[in-house]
Amino acid sequence: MIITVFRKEWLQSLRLGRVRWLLGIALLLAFASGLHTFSAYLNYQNEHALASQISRGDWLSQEAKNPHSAAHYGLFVFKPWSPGSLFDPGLLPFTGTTAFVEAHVKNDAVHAPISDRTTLARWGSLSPAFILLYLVPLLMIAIHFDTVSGERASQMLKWTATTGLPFGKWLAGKWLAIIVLPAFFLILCLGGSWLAAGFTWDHPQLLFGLLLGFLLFYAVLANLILWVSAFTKTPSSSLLVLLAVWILMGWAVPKVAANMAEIQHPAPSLAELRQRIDAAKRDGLMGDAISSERLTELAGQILKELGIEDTPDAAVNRDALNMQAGEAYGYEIFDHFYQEVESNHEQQRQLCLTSSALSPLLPAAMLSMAFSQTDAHAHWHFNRAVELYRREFVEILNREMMLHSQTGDWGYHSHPSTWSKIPEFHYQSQPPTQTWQRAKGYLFSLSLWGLLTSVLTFWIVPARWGWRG
Amino acid sequence: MLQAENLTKYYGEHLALDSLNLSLSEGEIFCLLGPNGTGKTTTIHLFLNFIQPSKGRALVAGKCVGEHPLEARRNMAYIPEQVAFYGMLTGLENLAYFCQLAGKHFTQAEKLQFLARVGLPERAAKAQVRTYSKGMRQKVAVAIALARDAKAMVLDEPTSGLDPQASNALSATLLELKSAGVTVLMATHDVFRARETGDRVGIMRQGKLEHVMATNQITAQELEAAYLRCVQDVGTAV
Repeated sequence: MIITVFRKEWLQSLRLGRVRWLLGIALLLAFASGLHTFSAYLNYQNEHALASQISRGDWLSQEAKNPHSAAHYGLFVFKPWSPGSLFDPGLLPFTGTTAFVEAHVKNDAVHAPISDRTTLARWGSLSPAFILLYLVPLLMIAIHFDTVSGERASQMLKWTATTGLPFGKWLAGKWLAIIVLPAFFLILCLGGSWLAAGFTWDHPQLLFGLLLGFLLFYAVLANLILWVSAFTKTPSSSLLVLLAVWILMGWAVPKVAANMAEIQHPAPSLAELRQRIDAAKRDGLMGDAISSERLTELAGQILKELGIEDTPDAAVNRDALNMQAGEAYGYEIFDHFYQEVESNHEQQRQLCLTSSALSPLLPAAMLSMAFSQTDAHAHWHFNRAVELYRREFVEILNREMMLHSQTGDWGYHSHPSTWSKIPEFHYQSQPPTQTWQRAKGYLFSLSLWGLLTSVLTFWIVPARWGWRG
Repeated sequence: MLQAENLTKYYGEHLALDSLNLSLSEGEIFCLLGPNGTGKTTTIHLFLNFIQPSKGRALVAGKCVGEHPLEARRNMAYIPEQVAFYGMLTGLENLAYFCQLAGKHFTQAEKLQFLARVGLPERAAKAQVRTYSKGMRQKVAVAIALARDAKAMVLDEPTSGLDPQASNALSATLLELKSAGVTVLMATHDVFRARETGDRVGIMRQGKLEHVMATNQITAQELEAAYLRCVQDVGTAV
């Protein structure tokens, strides 16, 4: 009987001109979004491969020079785009893709793709995730807003009641009819992204996460549409209420949540952060300038790691050793300030998560970016990977000078073959367990929404209105 | 088959139905006459459990509709004054849908036969309902009742807005249902149709069933006179 109701709903809908038009437009947009994202992805992959090759070539083709000069010459590393970006580019267009690796300084990734765009970028990118998060819910509303109120207004509700069909089964058939459309678009968009990635995905369990998260989101929307349509008396009031709810949940709540997060947990600007780092390097982390004792202690630790006894006649270049000790102190400063910024961003994320009690779109959008590995956390993960690579880079070059030259020998030059000792930068995206760990909160929030709206729809509506309409 | 025991309904302070006691046997056609607002539709809605009685109870095949609404409805077919169907579906598809909801499955030929029995040819049966007249929609409703094999049927002013030919066809179908043992409760303003089709006629006045008459014991003129007296009394009271 549930299937009978489901079949009738779609048979009826597909014979309506407006539904056929809407479906056609949505399919066209989904197709266009797939093409747009795929072309951006391919373009970036090509640029990434070419830029990586040029940067590595530049580094390897250096002539013989002092290793510290080479450390200042530096090299560029680039962020690869995950296959998930084919589905949801998330913050990728707004975060940097290129980081310069050099001695003494931790550089953040710069050159966000959005900086190359014209003002047209203001209207946002048409990605499959955008279609699924914003357009498909509108499509659901446009097709199904009168699913119960229309039947009540036309007296069909009473007619149907006389068949002896339980109200719950009738509602379940309606629910199935509502959710089948977004499920179709979800499979189309995810399948299309997977196909565009050449049937490879960094971690297939992330695809499952996207499927689960979006299905939960659509289940919530289907419940809400049924509930509002059963609660309102006429089809026009159903449409009005549903659109108002969608504007509130889709735009107002996320905007207010983002503003609140920035007000309550303001993040320092990049210039401010640099100033504080420079001050800490100059005056010490706690305002107690770095002491020669601390530097000596760090230098001792480095020698111990190298297995060299710390004696006045030890065969090391003390200038290079002191530079490495200075770097080690710099690591503490960078870790301190960047941890502060990360924890600041985490607090903002937590506030957004709390606000998801007012909108199921918030956890769905955040979950989409998390499982596509295009969220802020993925960006931080890349920045950390670059910093680890930088530390290895500087350490190799300082050690080269430390062990192959003498104190005061600033004219020392390394052989060009030294530069190949620096490994290539290969970025491994964050492990899926970490992503799932972070996505748990969003999934929990969507499950709560699902539970609450199911109670409203499948318990309160039949108990209060039922077949009596 | 259909029983009302002290059935009473208040809408706030307003008494819409006052202690109705009624018993309809198998294969009986009972017509409820009365001006607007005298409780005819309220009676029908109480039998269908669309509203809850303030007092008393309605029974279908011995089961209280308030306690067993789904079983009661499975035994009943309902034809409202304005028969509405899904306009984008054909008559045949509407019949198939409502029969399936009631747990009845038929072949295409059987479904067409039900529609043909009430005078709806195949070509019309395969046209979308939005193109139907009221009479045609009513035929589909009766065909659904036939297909569902309902033991009782309640009709709320079914002849209003029908042309004489369609009214005659409906009467003929009701008599056919009666001979098949179906019990019919019909609310109507059509005195002559009630006299012609019904076994008994009840006249309602201000929520009360005032007169119950066997149609074979009165003439059409006597019934009309009784009905007009009742309407005039209501008019005077108002």
